[in-house]
Order: sequence, then structure tokens, then C-alpha cells
Amino acid sequence: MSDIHIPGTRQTPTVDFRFSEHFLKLSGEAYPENAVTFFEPLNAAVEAYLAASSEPVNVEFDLRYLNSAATKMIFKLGGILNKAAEHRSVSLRFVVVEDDEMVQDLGADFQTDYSWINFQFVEVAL
Amino acid sequence: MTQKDFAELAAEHDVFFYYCGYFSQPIIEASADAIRLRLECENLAYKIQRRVLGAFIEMAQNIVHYSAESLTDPNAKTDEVRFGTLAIAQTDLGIRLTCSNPVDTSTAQRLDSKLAVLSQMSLEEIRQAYRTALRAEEGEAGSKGGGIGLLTIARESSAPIEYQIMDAPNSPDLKIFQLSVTV
Repeated sequence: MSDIHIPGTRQTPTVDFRFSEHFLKLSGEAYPENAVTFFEPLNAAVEAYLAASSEPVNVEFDLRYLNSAATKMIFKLGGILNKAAEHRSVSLRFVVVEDDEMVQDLGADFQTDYSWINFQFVEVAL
Repeated sequence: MTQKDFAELAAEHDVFFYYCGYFSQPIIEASADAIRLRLECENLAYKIQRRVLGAFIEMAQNIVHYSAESLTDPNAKTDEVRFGTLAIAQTDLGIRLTCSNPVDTSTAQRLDSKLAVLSQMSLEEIRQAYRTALRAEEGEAGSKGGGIGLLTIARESSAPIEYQIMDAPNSPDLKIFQLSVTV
């Protein structure tokens, strides 16, 4: 399936889904007016990609702000990745800005629920 | 009230942001930039800046999604423009954000039930409710974002959130919903 590249805006993240290279990255901020409209097709594309391959996957999240609706959609994406991780390696590099409690908490929620994923938490300075 | 009176009143109450009007996504983005700049200039801890911005965006987006006074078609799913107010003030207890918007009576009742419970919860109870809602498959009926907006606002608060549901002047079918949080 084709790679997905969407440049970031002030309220939507940069989407760099290189399915051909088994590398998926989301970075930036996410507070679109309708998070479901933005993320649902992306989550569906990732799910379709994972169903069609068994290669190890490397994922990176470098998210600096998420509104509540985007947080929920990203958490759902985590669920999709975790399900795939039961049958092949899924690594997630989860970047957190120091003192960003909200993203830190999301990371903690991921770790609690998504035990199949190989996490790497990376703290960066502002 | 003259402009000078209003400016003095604002200064007296340390209000540094006040908007009463139509909210839309572009207006929210521009306002968020203005608020971000102000918070950076105040040299506030990043943690606090994030909480203020987070509360502002949740409150403003709630107005765009749920205010009963809509300039755009109320059934529109995108590019909505709706009426509300939002004020941000520096207080002794922290930065206080207050938002308000008109709601119909059934929404007012739903909010009243929800917030009556939420405003009595401890921070730990709120955090737990948030974690549960984050994992819930569907958002609640009537929710446009997954049902964790109010919990997100409450979670960032350093004191119990406060709310009021008031009669709307001139509109018997509407109430005014007001919410305050201090971060």
C-alpha cells in the first residue's frame, strides 16, 4: 500500500508513514477541530498495513500537544499497534519533552495497556 | 462603562485575555498563539504553560462543538462557528480560565448531572475516571470527541472545578453554562 506523507500544520501533526520501509512516524501537535475525521483514516491505514505484513515495525511518536480527542485517537492507534505486536516485533520510540506531564501520562497509559510493544522513552529538553 | 473603566476593571482582576464572540478553529489557533506568547514572556514553568494552553483549547473547542448559538448549520461536522466567552486571569491561586456559552435545557441538565459529580471528585478519582474514559470504546452519546474533554480539563486543575448553570436573559429555551478551572 502507498506510503502516507502529510505535512504538519499548527493543529495537525506531520504524518510520515513509510509502509514500504516499515517505519511510521507522527510528530508535532494535534488539536484539529475534528480529531476523529483526521485520525480515523490513518488508524485504518495502519491497521490494513499491519494485517498485510509480518515484518518488524519501527514507530516513532514525537508529539508536543494533543487535545483530548486526539489523545483518544492516538491511544486507539496504540491498541492497533499492540495487537500486531503479539505476532511480530513492534518498537515504539516515544519522545517526551521534559516537564510535559500530559504526554508523559499518555506514555504511562501506553506502557500500562500495551505490553506487547517494545517501548523506548526518550526525554528531550524543550 | 468607558474603555478606561473596562481596562481598569480588567487590570484590577488581572484578566489578561477576554474574548466574547464567535469561536472557530482558526480563531482558536490564533488565540492559542497569542496566549502561548504571553505565557512564554511571563517565564512560567513549561508545565503550567502546557496546562493553561490545554485548558484553553479544550474550553474553546467545547464552545465550537456544543454552544447552542451557532452561526453555521448546527448539523455541520466541520468549520463550525459558535458563540461563547473565555476569560483568563492571574489569581493568587494560579491562572484561572472561565468559559461560558448558551446551551439548550436538555444539554444543561446533562452537564449539571455530570459536573455535580465531577466537581466533588478528588484529583485521584478524576485521574482514574480519565483513564477509564480514555479506554472506553465509544464516547458518550452527544460527544464529538470521545467524551474525555471535561475530564481532561478537570485533571489539569489545581482545585475543584467550578460551574454554574444560569438562566439566559431573553431566551427561555436556553441556559448559560459557565465553567472555571484554576491551573
